[in-house]
Amino acid sequence: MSIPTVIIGGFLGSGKTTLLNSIFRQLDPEKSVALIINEFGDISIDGELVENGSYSKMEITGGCICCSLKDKLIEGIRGILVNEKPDLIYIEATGLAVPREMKREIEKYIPEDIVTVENILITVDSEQFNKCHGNLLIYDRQFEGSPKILLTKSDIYQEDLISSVRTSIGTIYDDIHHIDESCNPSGRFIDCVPEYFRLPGGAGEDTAQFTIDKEQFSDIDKIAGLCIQYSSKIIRMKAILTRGGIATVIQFDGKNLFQSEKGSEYKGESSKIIGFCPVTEKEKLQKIFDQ
Amino acid sequence: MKEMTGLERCQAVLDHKRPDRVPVVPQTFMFAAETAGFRIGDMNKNGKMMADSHIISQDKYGYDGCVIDIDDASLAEACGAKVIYSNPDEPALVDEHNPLVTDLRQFKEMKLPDPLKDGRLPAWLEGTERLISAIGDRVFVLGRSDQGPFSLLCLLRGTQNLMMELITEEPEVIWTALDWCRQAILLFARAQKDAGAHATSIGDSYAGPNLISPQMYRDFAWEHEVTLSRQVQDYGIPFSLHICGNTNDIIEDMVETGAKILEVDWQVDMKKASEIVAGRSVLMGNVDPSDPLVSGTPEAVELKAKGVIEATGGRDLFLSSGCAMGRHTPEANMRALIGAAEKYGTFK
Repeated sequence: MSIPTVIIGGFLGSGKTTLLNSIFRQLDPEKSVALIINEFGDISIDGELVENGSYSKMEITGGCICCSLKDKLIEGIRGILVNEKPDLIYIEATGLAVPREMKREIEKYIPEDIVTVENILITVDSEQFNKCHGNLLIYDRQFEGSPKILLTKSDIYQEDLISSVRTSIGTIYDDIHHIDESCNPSGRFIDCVPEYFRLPGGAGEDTAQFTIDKEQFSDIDKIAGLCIQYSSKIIRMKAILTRGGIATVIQFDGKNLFQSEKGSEYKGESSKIIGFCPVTEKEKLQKIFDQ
Repeated sequence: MKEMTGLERCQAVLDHKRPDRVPVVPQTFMFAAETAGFRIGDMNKNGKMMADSHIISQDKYGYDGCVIDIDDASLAEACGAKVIYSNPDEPALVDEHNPLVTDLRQFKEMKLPDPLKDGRLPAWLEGTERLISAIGDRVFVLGRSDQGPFSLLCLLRGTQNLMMELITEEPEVIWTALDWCRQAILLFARAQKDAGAHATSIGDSYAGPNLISPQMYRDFAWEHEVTLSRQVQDYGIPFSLHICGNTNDIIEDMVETGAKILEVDWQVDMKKASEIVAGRSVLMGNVDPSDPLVSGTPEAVELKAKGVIEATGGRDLFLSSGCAMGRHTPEANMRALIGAAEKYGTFK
C-alpha cells in the first residue's frame, strides 16, 4: 500500500512548526511517522511528542538551494523507505522551497504505488501575505500547484484581515479550493489541522483554551516571562494587558514572542489573556497566569 | 592543431581565440572529494586535502579546469557567522536560524574579514596555492571567492529575514549592507589572485530567479556585482559570476556586470544565451548535475553535452555542469561529459 505523504510549506514564521506540533499531538500512537525537515537547526518539535508514538526525524540540508537539495530529498525518502517503512511521511519544506516542485520530483523518481503525495499544505500568515505577495517571487511560488491553504494565527488577527486574505487568494488563484483557518469563526481554537488534512489514524482533539480576565495586570514583564518559561506547554497565546491607560499586547505563536504597545483601538478594555494548550496543561497554566 | 593543455585551452577561450577543442571545467568539489576517498567534512579545514582531492580527480579524468570550492559557508563564517558541521559527508552550512546580523544597521560597526587569518579562508587559499604549484602550469584553476554580495548578505542575515526586509527596510540600509559584503568578497578575491588562481568566481544564487524577481535582482544585487567584477578584474584576474537556477531572464544583466565568465545552470537556453552574450563573456555550463549527471545514463550525458556544444557552436564556452556535481556522480557519466567535448567540440 502506498505511503501517504504530505508536504507542508510556508514562509518563515507562518506557523509550519506549530501546525506540525499540533499534528503530532493528534497522531495515533500506533502509527509510525517519518518527518523530513528541509531545513537545519532546531525545529522545535516538542520533545514529549517523541514519546507519543513512533516518529523519526530526518534533516536534509546542504547543497545548492536550487539543485542538489532535490537529490537529497529523493535520497532521504528512499532511505526512509528502506530503513523504516513508516505509515505516514511528512515533509516540512523551508520557506525558500517550492512545494509543487518537491512534489514533482518525488513523483518523478519514486513510484506512486510506494509513496503518494496526497496533499500540499501551505501555512499563510495574513499580515505576511499582504507584505510579501506580489513583491517576493519565492513567496508567491508557494501557491503553485493547487495547495491547500491554512490561514494561521486567526485567533490573533482581526477577522477583516483574515477575510481579505482569503478573498485575495481565492481571486488570484482559481485553482486553490481549500482555504481554512486555524480557529473557527467563534475564535475558539479547535485544531490546527483542517478536516480534509487529517490522515487516517489521527486521534481526537486534545487542545484546550485558558482565559484570564482582569481589570489590570500589575506586572506585564512577568506575563511575558511566564510565556517564555512555559513556552513548551503553550500552543498559542495572546494577551492584552492594560495599565495606566496603555495597552501592551503580547503574542506568542508557538515559537516567538512579540510585544508591542497599542493605541486607541484598545482603550477602555480590561486586560485579557487567551491561550491554547494541551488539555492536560490547562489547569496549571490557568493558575500560573492568574497570579 | 597542436594539442593544447587544459590551461592553454581555457586561456584561448578567455582570449577569444579558438582552442583545439572545447575545454571541460566541471564543478567538482564534492565529486573530487569522493573520488579521492575524502569526506568533505574532513577536508573543509585542510588546504592540502582540498588540493589533493582536485589533483587526484583531475588526474583520473583529465578535464581541463578545476573549481576550488568547499561549501557556501566559509566566507560567512570568516565574517563571524555560526556554521553547522553536522554531517561530515555534506558541506558545512551557515546557521540561518541564529543569524550573525539581527539588524542590517550593524554592518556599520562590523569589521571586514581577513582572508589570511579568519575562519577557513586560509585553508581555501592554501588549497589554491598547492593546486597551482602541482598542476597549475597545465590545468586551469578557478579559485572561488565563495558567495556574491547578495548571497553573503542572505547568509549573514538569514535568507527569509532578508527577503522580508527587501520589502520593508530602507533601501539605503540594504545598500550599505550589500556594499559591506562586496568589500568582504573583494578581499578574498584578491587573495585568490595572490595565491595564484587563474580566475575567481562568486556564487550569487540567492539573487537568482529561484528566489527573487529579475527586477529585484536589478534593484538590489546587480550594482554590487558590477562593482565587484570591475574591482576584481582591475586587480588582474578574470571574474566569473555563478547564478544557478533559471537565469534566462537575466542573462543580459549578467553580461552587463562585465564578468568574464558566466556560470549558467541547466535551465538556461544556451542558444539564446549565446546570442545574447555574443562573445562578451564565456558561458560555462550547463549539463544538469542531477539528471543526467547523477541519475542518467552516459548516453544521456553525451547527448546533453553535445546539445550544449551545438547550441553555442562550441565558441566562448567552458563545457561544465550547471552547478556543483554531486558526489555520487557515476564515473561513466563524468567520462561521457569529457568524451563529448572531444567528440563534438574538437576544432580542426
